[in-house]
Amino acid sequence: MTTFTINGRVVDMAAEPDTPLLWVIREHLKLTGTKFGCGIAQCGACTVHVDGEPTRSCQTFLEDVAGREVTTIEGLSPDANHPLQRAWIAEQVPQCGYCQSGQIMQAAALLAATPNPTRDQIIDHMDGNICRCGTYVRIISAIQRAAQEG
Amino acid sequence: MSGLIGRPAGTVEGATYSNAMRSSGITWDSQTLDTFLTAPGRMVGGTRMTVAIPNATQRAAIIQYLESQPAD
Repeated sequence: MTTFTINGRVVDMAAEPDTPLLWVIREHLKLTGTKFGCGIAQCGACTVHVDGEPTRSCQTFLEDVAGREVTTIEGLSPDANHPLQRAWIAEQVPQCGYCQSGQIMQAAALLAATPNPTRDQIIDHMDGNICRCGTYVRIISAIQRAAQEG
Repeated sequence: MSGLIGRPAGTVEGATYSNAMRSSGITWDSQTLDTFLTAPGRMVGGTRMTVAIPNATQRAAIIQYLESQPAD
């Protein structure tokens, strides 16, 4: 039994300790906003926060989050009005949408650490999140919008 | 990645480092790598390499591999 906090709720998870966190989140906890993209921590679609750190949940295991705080896209804000979520809508960022929960979680960690990032800082920080539809320009402008509107 | 152990961070010609990594002043060894890989953003704020590896066994395996790759 592994105990950890997810989106503010303490859960006791009976799954095997080496179950990928992504499986725990999607299959056991039915939080399907976090997506499987590659399974080898290369694309960023599975990005969640572990103690505030953006982490690839496909290559993180249940045992790794024992006693720690996991935040998924569903837990980013109580009623989906985090500045980034509002900015993502205002800038009409998604095309297919598959990578976007990971993009937003990666961006949320950036704004938490650097409230007013430069364009280069945004590009550096978001470098590892792949978008097959190529919505990068709108991702950057949505992050800039969220930083301004706060 | 070959010859990483003992090399100052952000110094390979042609690699697309972030400014944060270039000016980090880190020399890579098993300790700095273990700290960095646990939570990259916390050790080098603004790094491009933001893939955190919370699993200690995985980190040890990665570091052991890097130690086995001498500079060519």
